Amino acid sequence: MKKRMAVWVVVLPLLAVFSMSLVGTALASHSTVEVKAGALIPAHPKQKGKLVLLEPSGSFALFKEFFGLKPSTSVCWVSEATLASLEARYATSVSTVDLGSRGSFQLVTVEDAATGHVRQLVGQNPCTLVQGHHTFFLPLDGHTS
Amino acid sequence: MRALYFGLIAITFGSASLFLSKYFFDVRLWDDFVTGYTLVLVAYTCYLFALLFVHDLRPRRYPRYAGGKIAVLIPVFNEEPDLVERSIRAVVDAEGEKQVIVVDDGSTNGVQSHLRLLADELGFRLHEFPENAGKREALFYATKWLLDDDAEYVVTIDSDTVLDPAALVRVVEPLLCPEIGASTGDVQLLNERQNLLTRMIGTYYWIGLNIYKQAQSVIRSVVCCSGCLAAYRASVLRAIIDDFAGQTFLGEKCTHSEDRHLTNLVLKAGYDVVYVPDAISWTETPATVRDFVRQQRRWKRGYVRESLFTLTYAWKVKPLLWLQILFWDLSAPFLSLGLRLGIVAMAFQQPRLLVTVVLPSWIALLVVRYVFVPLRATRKLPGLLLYMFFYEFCLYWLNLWALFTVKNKSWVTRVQPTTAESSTVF
Repeated sequence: MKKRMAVWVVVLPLLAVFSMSLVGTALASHSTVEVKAGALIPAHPKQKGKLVLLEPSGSFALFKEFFGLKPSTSVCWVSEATLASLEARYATSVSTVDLGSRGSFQLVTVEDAATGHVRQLVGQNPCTLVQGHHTFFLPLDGHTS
Repeated sequence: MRALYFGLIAITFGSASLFLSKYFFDVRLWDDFVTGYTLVLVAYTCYLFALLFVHDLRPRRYPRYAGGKIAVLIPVFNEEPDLVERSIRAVVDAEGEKQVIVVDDGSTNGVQSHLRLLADELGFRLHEFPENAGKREALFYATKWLLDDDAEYVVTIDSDTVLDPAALVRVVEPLLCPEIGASTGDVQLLNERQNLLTRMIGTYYWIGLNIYKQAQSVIRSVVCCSGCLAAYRASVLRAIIDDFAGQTFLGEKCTHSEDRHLTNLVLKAGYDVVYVPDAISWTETPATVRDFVRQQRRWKRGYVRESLFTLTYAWKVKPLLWLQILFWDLSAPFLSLGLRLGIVAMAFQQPRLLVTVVLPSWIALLVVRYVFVPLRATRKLPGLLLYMFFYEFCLYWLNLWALFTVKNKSWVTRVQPTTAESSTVF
């Protein structure tokens, strides 16, 4: 019995870390963009524009992000013209962020953006980093039957 | 049952539609779905480990066998004479007060003459069907007409199963507890070292029995008493055997997955069903991918049909089992269709993510979920990795195939006995 129970010294911490990683990253993936976007919008209430989410790119960016070395995803408030330039060059998808009493805003995700070029396009538009949320995010399960 | 079945189909299409919705509608729907699925996965994993922890902390002990008569039923169909002889001799030599009944299910390979000689030598009861009627009919007939009146327990085994000498008494010991109606034992492979595939299946069996079945046993709700070695209280079996023989699904008579249904009927009658790791049997497993896939197709059809059946009654007698089947065992494979489609799409759109995100997180999930393999069965670790790849690329998709062909009865009339025809283990 002692031998059987001994394995739980390994199993329980592993299970705790695993569960917290999955739950934490799954929940964080929702709140962070909204919080960061909410902080950007009030600074420019009269400026026309769109919220843009820039997904990481560049050498080893995803590798670094996976190990938490570089949270390279960022959210920006850009002008319509800048957005048009981004859409012309990169694959984009549109989603909505709900900012509570301030209403819903469209969020344009720019995928696989080359960081240097995007910085040029975005220029002086305000941006802020967003926590990457891919770590341990594969909720598949084999052996169910 | 019909409503549940179509509900399952709706879940499958719903999951795929949610994945597609992120391209056409708000991506938040998809994100919320993935988050919800993840939370349920974590909850289920913690639940599973909690059950295993309880088992390790307070392992269950049963009264010792006290000499009650055990009727052993062995249905035979076109089995190799050497194999069936080995199986029958193991039963005859096993410990316990026994009545051994062999039912030949209309074999056409001449095994009957061998069985008759063996019956004369070993003194077991042999009954021959004039033509193949199926294992379900063989079990029904033997229970109805061939059991001795004083038989207290009925053990069913496959004709290619070899029992450990203590297996019979170990597997019936839980039945000395009045609340337990059935029990099942450990199944090990005779040909595990034959090739890579059989090693992989060996790991699959180890996980299925020592993690999943063990966990089910803690809540006394094992969902399948393996046909390789299953024990039933004789009075319970006699009470449910008519329902067993007359089972229908969506208006058609059922002919396969009899092990799972028999277990379901015991649970439905309000009895507990447990797993006994000390009751050991050996059997052969398919050694080719073709045969293994054939076997799995049949198992997965049974899994879909019988899981749906469990949902119809378990909320009354086994609420924890009902929740487990509803929120994970039955729904997860179909809910996760969208996630798997997402990974296929990712392979084309962002192949780097497969290496930097999908593969590491998939391995992390493996390490945690199956941490008992390296800790308690180190030699099965390579088989685990192989199995998980095989599951994702092949076996998972059989769930979908099984869902849409669950009424198919193409395996009813068996011609050749192969290991692919063997009884359901999980």
